[in-house]
Order: sequence, then structure tokens, then C-alpha cells
Amino acid sequence: MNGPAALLRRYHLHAPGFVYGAMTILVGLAAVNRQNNLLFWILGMMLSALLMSGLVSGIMMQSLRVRRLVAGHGLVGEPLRVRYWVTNRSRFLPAFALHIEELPVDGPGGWTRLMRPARAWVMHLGPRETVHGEAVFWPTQRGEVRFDRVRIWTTFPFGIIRKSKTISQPQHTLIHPLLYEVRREILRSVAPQGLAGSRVSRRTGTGDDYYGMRDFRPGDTMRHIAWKRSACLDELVCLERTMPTPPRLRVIVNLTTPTHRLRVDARRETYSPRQLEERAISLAASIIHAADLAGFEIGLSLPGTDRPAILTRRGHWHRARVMSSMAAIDLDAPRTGSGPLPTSYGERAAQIVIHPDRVDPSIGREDALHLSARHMSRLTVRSIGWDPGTAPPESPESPEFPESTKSTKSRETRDAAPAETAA
Amino acid sequence: MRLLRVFPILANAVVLLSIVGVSIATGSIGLLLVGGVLAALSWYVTEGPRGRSLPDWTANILIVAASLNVIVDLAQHTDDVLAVLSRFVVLLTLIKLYQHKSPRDYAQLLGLSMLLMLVGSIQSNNLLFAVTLMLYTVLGLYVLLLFQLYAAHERNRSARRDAIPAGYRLAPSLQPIVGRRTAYHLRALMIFIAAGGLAASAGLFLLFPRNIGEGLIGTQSIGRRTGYTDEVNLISGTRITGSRRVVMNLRVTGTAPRQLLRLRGAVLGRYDGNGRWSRSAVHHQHSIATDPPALLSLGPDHAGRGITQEFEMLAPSRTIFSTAVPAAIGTSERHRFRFDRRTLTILDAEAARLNHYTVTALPEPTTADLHALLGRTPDSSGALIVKQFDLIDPRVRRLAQDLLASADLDDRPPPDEQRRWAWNRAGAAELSRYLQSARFRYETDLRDVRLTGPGGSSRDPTVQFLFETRIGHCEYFASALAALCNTAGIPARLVTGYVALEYDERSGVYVVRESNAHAWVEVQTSPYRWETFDPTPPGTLHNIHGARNTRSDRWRWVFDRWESKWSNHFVGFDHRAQRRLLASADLGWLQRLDDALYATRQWMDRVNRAFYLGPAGYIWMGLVAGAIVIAAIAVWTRLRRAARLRTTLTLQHVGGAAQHRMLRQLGFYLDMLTVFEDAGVPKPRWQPPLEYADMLDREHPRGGSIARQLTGLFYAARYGRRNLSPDELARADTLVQQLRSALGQEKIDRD
Repeated sequence: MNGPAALLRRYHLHAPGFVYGAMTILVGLAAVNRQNNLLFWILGMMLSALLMSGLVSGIMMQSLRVRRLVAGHGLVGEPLRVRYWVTNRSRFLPAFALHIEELPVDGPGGWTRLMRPARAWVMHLGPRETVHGEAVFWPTQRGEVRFDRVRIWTTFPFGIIRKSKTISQPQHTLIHPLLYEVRREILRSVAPQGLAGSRVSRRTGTGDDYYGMRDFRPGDTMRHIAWKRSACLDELVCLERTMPTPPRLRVIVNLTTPTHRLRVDARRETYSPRQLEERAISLAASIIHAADLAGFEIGLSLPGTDRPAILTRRGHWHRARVMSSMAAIDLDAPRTGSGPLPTSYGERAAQIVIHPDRVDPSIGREDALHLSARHMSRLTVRSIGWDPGTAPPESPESPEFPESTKSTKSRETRDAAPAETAA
Repeated sequence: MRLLRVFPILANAVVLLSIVGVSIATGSIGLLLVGGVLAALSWYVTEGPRGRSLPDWTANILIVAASLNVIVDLAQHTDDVLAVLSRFVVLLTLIKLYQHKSPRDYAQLLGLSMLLMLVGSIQSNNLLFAVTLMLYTVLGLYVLLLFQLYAAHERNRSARRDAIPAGYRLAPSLQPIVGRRTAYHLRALMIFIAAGGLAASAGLFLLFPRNIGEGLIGTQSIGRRTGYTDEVNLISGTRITGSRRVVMNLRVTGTAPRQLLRLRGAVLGRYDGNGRWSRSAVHHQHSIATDPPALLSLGPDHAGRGITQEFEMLAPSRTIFSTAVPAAIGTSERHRFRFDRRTLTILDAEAARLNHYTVTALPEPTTADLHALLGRTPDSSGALIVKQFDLIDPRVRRLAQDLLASADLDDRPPPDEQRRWAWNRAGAAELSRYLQSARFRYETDLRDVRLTGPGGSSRDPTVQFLFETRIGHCEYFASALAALCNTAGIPARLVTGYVALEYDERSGVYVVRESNAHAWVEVQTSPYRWETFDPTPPGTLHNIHGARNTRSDRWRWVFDRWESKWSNHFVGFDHRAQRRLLASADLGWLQRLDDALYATRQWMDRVNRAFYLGPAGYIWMGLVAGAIVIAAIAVWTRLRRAARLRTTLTLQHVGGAAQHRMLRQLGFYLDMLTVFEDAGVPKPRWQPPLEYADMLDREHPRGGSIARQLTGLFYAARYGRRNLSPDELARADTLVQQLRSALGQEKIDRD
């Protein structure tokens, strides 16, 4: 995390301040004209209120320290909570009614492109205290978000003068794609036997299959002792079992076709080519999410982009890495074309290839399951979070499974799917 | 949170207090009862068990009705605009109180309550209102601080709530983020602000220059509105003040105590025919100055004679009062006066008011005394008034002559001078008796009596009083007597002042209150002497001006004591008191500042008099001064910009004519640099302009292309020595505007 850098303190005279100033001038004129001491006293109070307002808010702001604490990533459709660490270093003076907001960032990646403005508010901060303010943003698109300047301001105590302090703290985070709840048939089609016994690794573990024998070690439970063999050898030996390995899945998002060459039927389809690509990414993220929950090891390949392929692994960190890779896809960057997929051909993993518009069978293995983002509504049930765009139907009323499969296995799945869904 | 929950209650209390305050200031019991009760009820109605608010459309209709009502009210009470404004603001406040209240409505309510207190303070400076104002200030300060928290909390909460998408189940927290001991810190901060504000406001109050700009807009100072005025306006003065506020304490020696004393203030010899009496011309006045501790004699020998009056003014006035013909005057400090020989009155010639002075008066002056005072034989000055009344209505003359004839007096002044003085006295007495008869009724409040209007036979209020309404207060009686006397040929003039009748046995002084203001008539009964005739019925006079002895009056001295201190030390704090304070504090620079301001005022007075500009002259001088200041600021800004251009564009070495041309034409490049500097891309001094433009084109695509075009123009003028055409300059300005909007300069500024 970068620390805050440049500092700018300013007084802003806003509309209430102008009204107050005009009223003060009028009272001054009335007092001078009438020589009424009560009016002179009120004029004095009004001027001293102005003075105290500037003084109190000035001292208050001077002793404040702010730092942004931004999460590693956010998710489209879920609130992105940006926290602000606010400390009052004054020994005596408390701070009240502090508003904290992000200033707009121009250029690519500026947060204003992906999110609507939000503001954190701290009602009270005692002397020598620290609190965390929280601004809740609602990301509407995936991508990289850059923050730069944070402004903390207050109109306390009288609302006449707005005093602000701006710090520069460049930071960035990633907004992961919108997730949908995908239909179970998709994962079943790539792992039809279920998880148990789907693959056996060559390492020892806690599975059911036999791996080998070894000498008894203190701490081994009686259940692991191979009694017959121990009787034969006249020493205690234990059974070793294999470690069950979860099924592997590689998701390939075909982004080899430039956006402008994607085919969209303007009469039947309401979305743009760019939206198709975003849907493809979102579908891939949703499948990865579902697979992760189902215990799969996941890998990702993004042909057409400069993003490196990611090996199949499990775990929270790996999942975040995969999602971040998809979040960071720059669809405006030139496409690299469909090259070989080195990591994906050498591994033993099921493959799902997702295409923005039409299926390109040349991507992925022969037995890969090909899906198109055009059929998003049939592949997903509902969005997991809030869908800023057109959400898919919330109820699974469309049982039809996509027909964009190529391999035999996929065809079988296609035939079986309606029956399963109907059941 | 308790702090936020308590805010609406306190806000209502503040609004209620402001309504009470303005009711006190205007002295309106009706406003207090109706407004106060409705305001108090509003809390129960809107926040009580039923919790019903006025719908917006109803409130809007009521506001429109109140606005129409204020127009009608203004048309009916053109002389009391502030009271009309008070009623209107109270109405608006009541409507807002019964509405549903968002933070914005609360802001409007608090603003209205402040406006009410401001209007009240313009109208009144009595102690009770000041106490209300003090309470309002303390409570209002706390409410204002709470309002900042309440409004910000409500706005942030609703913004956060509105941002939550529909159907989203896990809503973010809407609770405020607070540290420890919030209420304690808020109260402590309020005390700090109040103490600091009080100290600063006290300093400003003490140091603010007084007596500069007084009466610029022509309104009389509220601090000297004592019920007594040095001119009489019968049309607007439909009410005689009933204020029990003490104006002065008078200690008299040389006369019997508890005797009714008429304290002469202003002598009004001019009637303008529209119910207005004013002073005659001032060319009989001459300046005099006291030399303490001795009394300054005005001409006659007063040693061991006459009565001595010691005035303690609690509401200082420019008029010097005296119960009879003044013979000498004394002050504690050297002071200048103007003595009017024609009316035998003394005026304060200095801007500062006197709080204490002593006047020796001669109740029975001899001819020698009067000759010494007057210096020469004055002329009878009834001609102007006779002409006015003759022009207004001939019935006045006929009535006077009929009355004199019915008393067996000549209807015209006798040619013999000795007989004429006696005829004057007898005629004035007869006319006075006519007005004191049962035909006429004394009323202090004439608002319900239609004095002027198309329905009457005359628009003149004196004539209306004599022939139609026959209801009035002392000013009407005095005006009528003066009119009758003058049309009959008896020189008479109207006198305003006070009646001293309330004698305090414990302190041995007469207590003179605002309600003791009175008007009577003086009639010329010898070449030097003007005799007093009071047409007000004597019984009424004693009833109104005598000491009251009700139960509340018995305890009133407690309040009066505080009010006396308030009036003396706060309301009466003037230029002189300020100078004394500065002198005692020995702050040299403040003294010099004060002297400079005083000299400025004197100079303005001189200029004003030299050009006969009148009150508008100060406005003209203010306008000229403002224009000079604006011109100076414009010149300074231009010079500063030129200096900045020279430095930024390194034009120091460019020759004279070329430099001037570039200074005229290359402002756009400076503006461009400023825009980029504000956007966070300042131009390093070492970087050549073209390279800077290239960098902008690369790294700042939104403004880079415009910067390149502007740099091209700059190159042509700066290094190509080309004179840019007006079209090119206009284009440059347009490009700068485009650049500004492209970089979102306005948005950044607004943020």
C-alpha cells in the first residue's frame, strides 16, 4: 500500500456562505444606519462566527491524517467497501462531520469509469483517536480501478465555510467479473462420474484405494494396521492409501476474434459485440466459481490476449489469481490471434471453451465443451450479486441446453441434459 | 443515537424562542399568544402519537395565501414595514413547522428563526428582548452544531440507502461512525466556540467605529427612539408609546417636589400641511461650548436664582431638556452645543451623546433676563402657519373666530400692542378650554380611527380631528390648539418633550419614562415671552403620566434597575464612551485608527455640506469610493498578470514595443499553463514549450491536441514575432475554454 503524498488544504465559500456573508453585510448596514448597539452586537457575533468557523475547521483539518485502505479486489454486483483510516492527532480538539470522497481520475482505469461516486462519513472523531470510515461503491464493470486523490472535508461547525484537505495516494484494485449461478449440467458434462474416485493421484493420502505398505510408526491408528501381513511378517506394518485428487477443469475464453469482427444480428440481439465479450468473460468466471465450489482444480487460458495461461490448481489464492486475470483483460488491446495452448494440451483436465459469438472448434481439445456467450441466459440461472446490466431470468424456466458442443461427449451430454433437467 | 434524536426537539424549541423574541420586540401579545401556542402545538401534531404533517400542496397554498396577505398588510401599514415582515415570517415559520421536516426543511426553519430575531433586533433593543436574544444565541449555537451532524447523517444515510440496488439483500451499515464520548466533546466544543465567539464579538462591538454612516438610509436611530421626537407626524404617529422604559432620572433643586414639570425638548414652528410639524429655520442658532466644572451662562445672571436640574440620561438624546427657560448649562467634560435664541432651546452639537448634564432654568424670567437670552426682539412667526391652515381649510379660522366671539373676545387681534398680548393669552385659554371639553376624547391608540382617506372632508389630520373624529392624543390636541390660535392671529408653536410627574421618594429624583412623552403649545404673550398652554384634558394627563401603583409596578423597580444598567452601559455605548475606553486602554494604534475614522467622517460631512448633497451625498461618496477601489483592484490585477507573463514567458529581455505586444497577446498561453497546472500537469521551467506540448499530447490526450494548437499560436507570436490577428486571438480564447471544459476544471473546482 502506498502512503499518502501530496497535500492541499483549501477553504471553499459555498452557497450558504455567500448567503451568510450577504446577511452579515445587511446587518452591518442596518447597524451603521441605525446606530443600534444590539445590531452592532449581532454584527459582532456574526463576524466572530465566521472567524470561529474558519478557525475551528482549520485547526480540525490540520490535525487529521487520512489513508485509504482498499481491498485487493471487488466484484461486479457486490459492494466494494473502501475504508479510510482517519486519525485525529490533536490533543484537545475533536473533529466532527467529516466527509471523505475520492476525486475523479481521468484516463483509462479511472474509478469513475467503473463505479458511481460514493462517500464515507465520520460523525465524530475524538482527540487522539482513530476510526475507519467506509465508502461503499457499487462496481458496474470488471476491470482495473485506479484511485488517486482523496479529499476529506467538513462544513462544521456552522456550514458557512467548507474546509478541505486533499491527499494524493495512488492505488489500484481489480473488479472481478459479474458471477452467475451456472446450471449444474455444465459441470456434470465435464465430470459425469462425480467427484469420488474420478482420479487417483500417485501420492499417499486419506483416500480409499490401496497405495502400498510401510512400517508401523507410533501414532498410527489401529485401523491402518494390516493385520494379516503383520501376522505373516511378525511385525506391525501399516497400509498406505492413495490421496484422492479432485477433477481438473481448464476454462478457455476465446478472445482471438477482435471485437469489431464479432457477428451480432442487430435485429434479434440487443447487445453489442463488446457486451458479448464481457458476457463470455462473465460466463467463464461463473463456471470457474461453480467449479471451485464443487472442488475442481481450475486452470485458465485466454487465447487472443497477452495474459499467460494459468495452471490448474485449487485454493483461495489460486481462485483469486484466476479471477484477477480475467478482471485485468483489456479488450481494447490488439488481439494476438489463436496460437498454441501449451499448458492446456499437456495436462489431464476437462476443457470448457467459451466463445463470445460463434463456436470455433479449432480452439481447445477435441473433447472440449464449447459454449457461446449468446446462450448465457440458458446456461445460467441468476446472477449471484446485483446485475448492473440485463440480468438473466431469475427462475430456471429455460431447460434447453446449448447446442454449441462439438465432441461426442458433448453431444451425449446435450442429449441427456433435457431429461435431467426435466427430472 | 441520542444526540441526533434530540435535535428535532431542540430545533422546535429554538423556533419557538424566536417567535417569542419577535413578539417581545414588536410588543405584540397577540402574536405571542397565537404564534407561540401554534408553534408549541406543532410538535404534538407532527411528532405526537398521531404524527400527522401538512401535505406539501396544502403548505404551498398556505404560503401563497400568506404572501397575498403580506401584500394587503403592507398596503394597510406602510409605516410599519418591519412589523408586517415579522408577521409574515412568523406565518411562514408556522407553516414550515407543520410540514414534514427533511434536513432542508430544518435548515429553512432555522434560517427563518434567525431572520425573526434579526427583524426583532432592528425593531427593539429593550432588555427583555436582549435576554431572549441571549438565550436564543446559546441554544441556537448548540442546535446549529447538532444540525450539521443531523443533516450530514441524514443525507449520507439516504445517499447510501439509495445507492443499494433493488433486491440486494445485504445492505451496508447505515449507522454513523463515531469515536468515544461524542456528546461530551460536542458540548465542550460548543463552550469553546461560544467563549471564543463571545470574546471576539465583544471586541468587535467595542471597537467598531460608531457614528459613521448614521441615517444613510434616512431611518431614525432606534437607540434614540424614546417616545419623544423632534418632529411630529400625525399621520404615521397613530400610537403613543406605552413603554415604561426609563428615559432619564431628573434631580431638581429650587422647586417644590412632586410638582408637574414639563421638560421642553423641541419647539416646532413649521407645519407642512400634511400632519407634520417640524423645527423652524436654524439661522437663529449659535455655537457655545462648556468649560467644566463651571456652568456656562447663556446670557442672564443666574447666580443664586432659578432651579437646577441634573439630568441622568438613560437613553441619550441630542436634545437638551429643560423645564423652563434655560439660563446656564454644565457638563462633566468639555462639550459643544447650539443655542437657539428664537426658541430658547439647546441642541447637542457633537456626534456623541451626553449621559449627564446640568441645566439651570429660570421659571419666572425677567425682561432683562429674556433680553439677555434673546439678544434682540424676535419677530412673531405665525404667518407661515396661518397661510398653511387657511389654504388647507377655511373652517379652522371660522371655528376659532366663533369660539372667541362666544367668549366675548375680539375675533381679530387688537391693534394696540398691550391689549393684543392680553387678548392672545385670553384667546389661547378659551381655545384650550374648547379642546378640553367633552366634545373631544383622548386616546393613545388611533389605529382603528380613520384619520385620512377619500371619505373625509379633508385629508389634513388636524382638520379631521377638529371637525370629524374628535379623537386623538396629545399631539392632536396640541396641533389643533396651535392651528386655532394661529388662524385667529395668536402666534403659537408646538412643543414636544416630557412630563415629569413620577417622583421617587427614596432617591429624590423624577423618573421619566418613554410613556411620559408629551406635546403642548406655547403662545406668545409678550415680545419676549411664550406662555405654555396644554390643551390635553388635565385629568387624562395625570392618569397617563402619573406614577402607577399596581402590584406589578411595585416590583418593577427590580427590572427597571437592570434595564437602567442595560440602557446606560450597552444601549448608550457611543462614540464618546468608546473613546474613553480606548483612552483608558492606552492602545495607541486603535486611538489613531479611531481618530482617522473620525477625521474621515468630518471630511465627508464637510464635502457633503460644501456641495449641498444632503443625505444622498454619503451614498454618492460611497459609490465613488467603491468605484475607486474596484479600479485599483483592476489595475493591480492587470499589473500582476503582466508581471507573471514577463516572468513565465521570460519576456524581460524583449524590447519595449515588442514586449507590450506580447503582453497584450500572449495571455492565452498563460491561461493554458494555469489550466494544466490546476489539472496537476505543471510545466517545468526547464522544458521548452514545444516539448511540453508533445509531452501533453502523449500523456494527456484530452487536452494535448488543444495544447498543441495553442503552442503553435504562441510560437508564431513569441518567436515568429508575428502580430496575431483578432480572429486568431479569439480562436485562442475559445481553445482555452475548450481546454478548461475538457479537463473538467469546473468540476474539480466545484468538488
